[in-house]
Amino acid sequence: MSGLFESLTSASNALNAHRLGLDVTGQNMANINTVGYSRRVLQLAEQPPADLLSAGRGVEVLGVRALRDEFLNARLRGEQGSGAFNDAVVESLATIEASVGPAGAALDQRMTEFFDAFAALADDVTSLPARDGVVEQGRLLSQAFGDLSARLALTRRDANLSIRGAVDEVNRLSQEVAALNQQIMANGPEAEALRDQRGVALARLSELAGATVMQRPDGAVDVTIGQGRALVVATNAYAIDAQPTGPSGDLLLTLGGITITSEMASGRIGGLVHGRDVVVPAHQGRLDQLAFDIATQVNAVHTAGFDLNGAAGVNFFAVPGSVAGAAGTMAMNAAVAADSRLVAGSATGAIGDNGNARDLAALREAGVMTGGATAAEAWAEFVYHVGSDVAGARSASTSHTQIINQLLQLRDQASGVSLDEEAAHLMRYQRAYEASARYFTSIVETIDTVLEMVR
Amino acid sequence: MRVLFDVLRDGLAAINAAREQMEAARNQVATGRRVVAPSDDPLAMQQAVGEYATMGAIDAYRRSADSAASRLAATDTVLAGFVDKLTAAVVAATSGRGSNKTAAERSAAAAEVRSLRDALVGDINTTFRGTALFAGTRVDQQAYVASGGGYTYQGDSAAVQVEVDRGRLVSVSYDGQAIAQGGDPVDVFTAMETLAAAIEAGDDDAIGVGIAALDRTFDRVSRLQGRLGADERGVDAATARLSAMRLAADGRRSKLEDANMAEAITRMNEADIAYRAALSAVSSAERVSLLDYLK
Repeated sequence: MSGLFESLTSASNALNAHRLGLDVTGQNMANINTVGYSRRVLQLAEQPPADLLSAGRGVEVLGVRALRDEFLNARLRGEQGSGAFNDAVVESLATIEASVGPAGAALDQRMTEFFDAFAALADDVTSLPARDGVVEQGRLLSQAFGDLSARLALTRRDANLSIRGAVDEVNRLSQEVAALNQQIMANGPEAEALRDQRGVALARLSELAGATVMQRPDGAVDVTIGQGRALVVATNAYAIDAQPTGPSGDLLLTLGGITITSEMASGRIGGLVHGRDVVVPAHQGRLDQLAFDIATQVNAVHTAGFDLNGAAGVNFFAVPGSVAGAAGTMAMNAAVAADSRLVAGSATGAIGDNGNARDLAALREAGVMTGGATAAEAWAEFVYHVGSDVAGARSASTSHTQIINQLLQLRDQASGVSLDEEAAHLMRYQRAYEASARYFTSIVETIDTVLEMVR
Repeated sequence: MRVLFDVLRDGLAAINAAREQMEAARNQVATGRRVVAPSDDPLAMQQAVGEYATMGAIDAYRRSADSAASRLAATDTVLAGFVDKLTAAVVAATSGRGSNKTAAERSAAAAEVRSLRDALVGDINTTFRGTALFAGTRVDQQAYVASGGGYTYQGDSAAVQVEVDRGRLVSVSYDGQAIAQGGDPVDVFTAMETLAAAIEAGDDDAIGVGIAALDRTFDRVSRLQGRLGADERGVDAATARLSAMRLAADGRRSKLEDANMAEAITRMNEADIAYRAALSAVSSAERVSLLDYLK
């Protein structure tokens, strides 16, 4: 009899194991759309026989395990950081590119019309409408440089706003990871679910700040950013501080009192900082140089001539103080703007002489900008740099997106939930449960038979 | 191997990629342009900016050439009138010459000469769009004004020049004194007054001197007409060359910027098919699973 009761226990264990299998399958199917969920598998083992004359004691549940590939997850986090970096650079550049406008209808059109006005003045140097045209085009050119410079400045301001938002999210996520570390270390029954949640938070941290994750033996993880600056150490989270600095108001990032702004070489924050501190200033510098060169060259020729009153020419543009900021501050000389008779079209002082107007118009094709370029060539170079930077960053972003998608697919091969597979499991556990139940019934019937024998 | 298809990630990525390609192709067909933003083709955009600048400069030269051509035509008309009037003055002076002329005939001839002189003064003071043609660079001044019984030149000897092509300058104002006086001791207007007085006095020698002065003026005007004609032909040649250059620059710009419509339409159709295929593939994904076959 004792053997039959052991068989009943064995059947009962099998029923429990296969019911658990059904539960695990149900859990997997329920979480097929849960972000970060790693599929669970039921781990079963045979209960070995007690002696050579017994068949065994059925099945034993070893546990429910989540299938994760930590190597893939680490690679994925790395790529997500690099991808987010490029996406942020593209974001900064896209604004600049939109501001540049199409060829022949952007700042180059303003420059063409500016020099056209001097050419029209040369055709009729005493004409007051032609002089007014020169003043108006000078004003419009200054305004165009100012507008573009303001848009570049706006791009930096937007980058700071985005950095602020990203830093806030990083600080919230690092606290979340520290809290999850604590719960995982406590090794509660929900450990696998907590690890999934932490995985989602870590992926987002990598996207935002290019975080590096190190697994600890106690189940917790340490997170560093920049050049190994600790963001999370087990159950402790350290906040990034973002404070505006300097006249630009650019945010300076510090972690534990150490400035980490320039260390952010990955993640969205890294991309935003790179766009703000490297990409935008490079383009701003080229624009400032062009504005400075145009103002300086026009002034040099203009002051060599004579105005309609026969007086020596004054500066046409307000003299730029330095190359830096020249585009933003470009403006007409207020005196010339107020009185177009002060436009110095004459080279000799004779009212009808148009030599200086011709010289000013000829600046259009003169290689007097920095590097011996014409004004149009300098603008074309600016446009080329913007275009190639955008195309390069976009290409890198696309490439990273493809790599990330491939890694996600690889990760899904290990961790993702397949409905077909779960349906097969469902069928298998259901059949196994039915078989175990039938075995249980058979044992009960056998016990009944034995009991009948003693009646 | 376990192969999973995530509708949201893989499916939408495929749809978005196909849609982006379709939008890009559709944009090219709709706008006719291959390069709209610098990142579409940075090098082409850089070169297109250069071509626009070239066209801008050519357009400015063409406007200058048109303006110069108008002024040259006006000057040519004035000079033709000048020649006619000088010829008429020589005829009038000749008709008042000879001992057989009556006082009334001489007086009429002298009056004719004076009238022609006044007309010539009017001609040399011609303005075009408010600027004097024969006062050099003093375009706001009358070339000659009567003063103290004679005539004074108020202009200068310089000329206003317009650039009608790279490095090609054309004069559009002239030194009136070089026309009216040249190397003579007095200007033609004073000479004509002296001539009229000689006709009235019946001084044939003085009439001969006056006619000779008119002849020299005629020569100077003729020489200027020759130069003017050459300039007009030069402006025409420059205009033709500028038109050809602009056409070439626009052709280069078009090659850089404009879409090849046949290619763009083909690409748009291909992209449309790819987009529909992506939609269809994604919509059919996971439509059937093992669950459908479990009883």
